[in-house]
Amino acid sequence: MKADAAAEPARELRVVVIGNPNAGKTTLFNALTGLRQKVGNYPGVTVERKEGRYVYEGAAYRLIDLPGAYSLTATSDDERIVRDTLLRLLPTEQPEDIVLVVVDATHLERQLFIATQVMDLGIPTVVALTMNDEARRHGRAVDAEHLTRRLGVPVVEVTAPQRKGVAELREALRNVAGRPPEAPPWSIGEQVLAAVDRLATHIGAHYTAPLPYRRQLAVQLLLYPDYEHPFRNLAGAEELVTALRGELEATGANWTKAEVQGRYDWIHQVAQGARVAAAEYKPSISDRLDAVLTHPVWGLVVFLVVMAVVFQSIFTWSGPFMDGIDWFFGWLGGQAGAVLPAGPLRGLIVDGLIPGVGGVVIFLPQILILFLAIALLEDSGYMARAAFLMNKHMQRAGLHGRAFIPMLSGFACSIPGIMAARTIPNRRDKLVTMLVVPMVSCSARLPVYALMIAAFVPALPIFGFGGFTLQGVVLWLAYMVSLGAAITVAFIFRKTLFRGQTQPFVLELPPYRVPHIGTVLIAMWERGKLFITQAGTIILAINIILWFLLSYPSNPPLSVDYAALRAEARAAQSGQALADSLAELDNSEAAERISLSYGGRLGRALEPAIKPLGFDWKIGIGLVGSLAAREVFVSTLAVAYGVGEADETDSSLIGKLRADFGLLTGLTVIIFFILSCQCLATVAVMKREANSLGWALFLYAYMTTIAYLASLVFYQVTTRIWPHLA
Amino acid sequence: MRRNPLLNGKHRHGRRHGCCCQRDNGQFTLLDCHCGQTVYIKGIDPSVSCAPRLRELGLLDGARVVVLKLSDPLLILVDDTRIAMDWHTAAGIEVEAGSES
Repeated sequence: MKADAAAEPARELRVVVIGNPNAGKTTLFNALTGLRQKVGNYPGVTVERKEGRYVYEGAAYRLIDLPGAYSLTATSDDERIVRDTLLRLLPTEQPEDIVLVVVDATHLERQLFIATQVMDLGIPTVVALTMNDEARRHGRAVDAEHLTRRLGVPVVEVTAPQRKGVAELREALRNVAGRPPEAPPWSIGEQVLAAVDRLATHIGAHYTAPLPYRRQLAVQLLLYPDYEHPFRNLAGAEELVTALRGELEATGANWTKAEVQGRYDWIHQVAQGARVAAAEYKPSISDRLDAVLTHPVWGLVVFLVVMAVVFQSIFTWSGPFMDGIDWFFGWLGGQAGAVLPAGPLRGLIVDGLIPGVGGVVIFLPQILILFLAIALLEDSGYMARAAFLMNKHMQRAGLHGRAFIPMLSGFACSIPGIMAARTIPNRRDKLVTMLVVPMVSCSARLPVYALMIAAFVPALPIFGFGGFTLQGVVLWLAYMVSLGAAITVAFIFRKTLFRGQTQPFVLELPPYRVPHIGTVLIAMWERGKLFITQAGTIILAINIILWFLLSYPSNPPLSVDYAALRAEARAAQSGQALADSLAELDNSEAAERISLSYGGRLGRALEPAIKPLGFDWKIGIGLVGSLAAREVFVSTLAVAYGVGEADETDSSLIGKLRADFGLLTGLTVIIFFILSCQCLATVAVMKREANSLGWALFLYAYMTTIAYLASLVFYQVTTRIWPHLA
Repeated sequence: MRRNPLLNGKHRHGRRHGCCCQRDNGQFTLLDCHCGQTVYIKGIDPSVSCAPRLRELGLLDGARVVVLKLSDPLLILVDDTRIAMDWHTAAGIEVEAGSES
């Protein structure tokens, strides 16, 4: 039978897709739904909510792809969402009609664990058996029909990349709707069950779900004392749990492992008959690869090479695409400027809207390349190996083993860096990473460093060799200081704001597999779409506000009549001399206009606060402009100095800076930019990824405070020692 | 070779002993094994906060475990699944020696 997309669905069935990490859940979800997917976040957490839809035999199916989980107990945000969705603890989620449990045949017993928990709830269940072709190759194939008989729910063998079994799976989902399975006959033991039921009754005063749901939560509350639980603080719960544990202890029963042992006893019986052959373990290709890739020396060498390729791809390979986007929006602005009549609308479109949209789209190449790399690393199984290798080193700084990708991406741009923190499972580790990534020197800071170094640091050879100069050393130091600051701040955060017991590091290393290109491309596409639709709209709004601040009022009272001066120049001069005079007048007028704009006034208003750092109002205007993007500091400063359009290598701008400031001010500007979050796009992405305006504002506030204090101390101390260099 | 108190004061590869190295309290833990050794789970210390998760991953009493790497994190094989864990967690998993793999 075929999926019937054209037919009008009579009803919609809600199907929740669950399974262990790396069970092939996402590939199957993509095979079932195609590109009809919607990605968002669960309220209040950073966990992604993925929803897709298909129509089959007159019924519409809405699939919700839950994060990977080993069981319904929760140790991370991802697992909490799985538990809360299935146990009906999320008020925003409708109860599911069917649960599709994805089970990897190569790890059958472990993956059936969560299936038994779902079946206990009495929700209509279908098991999708994936990777059975791989299990067959290893002589450990699973008989789906036998498993169907033993479990009492349909088990469908699926090879999602080739779409084998997808039609049968759709049919099974159709047939199972409205048919709850029988509870699997595993036993937790009479004494433990009696205790669980007393606790379930107590919970029932606040949680009206049917008994199997309450039992599930009661088991977690009774047997898993260190796990997060929604009813742990319920009145009387703690006392009852203590009393029940005491009673169980007195019986001498081994109650702490009653649930896991009981389930696995039954699962082993089921799996034993379902295995067509039970081959002994033999070292696989994954074992041979792991001998090198997790080796403390060779593994690190391979890791550094892989990371170099990832960094290179984000930093350099995205360059031509970004240049192309930059050129396109420049061209579009020029075309629009030529067509539209002069006035506020042209200003809004040509100088506000088009560069604003360009300022969003320009990040896309980096984001798409980063997420392509992440998807390839995840799907191949290498990401877990990299976390294995880096965990010890990252934990010294209070960061999770997986934080290396966001940190590395941060060198290219904070925005993909923050977005890459999605791969970190624990919210606390995720937040610490997202808060320190913007401190790593991104590529947008480079023009600011380059301008200040070119203006104030002499190109003195180091070690008597022309290839190494003092300018290069200062640039290297800027990067090292930023990395050191990020690590230090992470360490401080883990000791203060995010203090708490260090989470034990337990990680499954999945077998190496060839990534499925469709899954990888869909993941990349979804991330790009998410960035454009959510963070992009905020960035666009910020860019338009900053354009307004730096462009209005449109007709400020100028000190001289530039039109009259231009007319005089045209009458008195010709040729190159006239062109030079007109350019100088244009630049002077632009400088005066920006100084009289709202942004300019803001820059002037900032002067008393930034004067102790050695900055004047022109740098103040540059700081306001740089909120759109850090590199805009250079072009805004050029306009404020009356140089016109200039970049960090412009000799006129460098000359004017040298006339006003000395080495120490230049270095203070570098320090300020290393430590500050002069990029509202980063703040917007932080709000989106942390799902919290509070954390986004905190990011901006803490970085600006550190930047200000460090710059103040540096400038005040050094100018007292070397006043002639101020 | 760097010493670590969790390693019971012994060389972390431990191969020269040819078997698990008993601790002062008479326990053998995963950290006391040598690379390539096959052992069986005897129990998980209740103070290991992730004990339920470890059991869910198949580290049940009597489960057969092959110690693949003794680096930090340590790497083991349980029921065809490679599991990495930090030394503190590994030190809380009591094992008994089995046949050499």
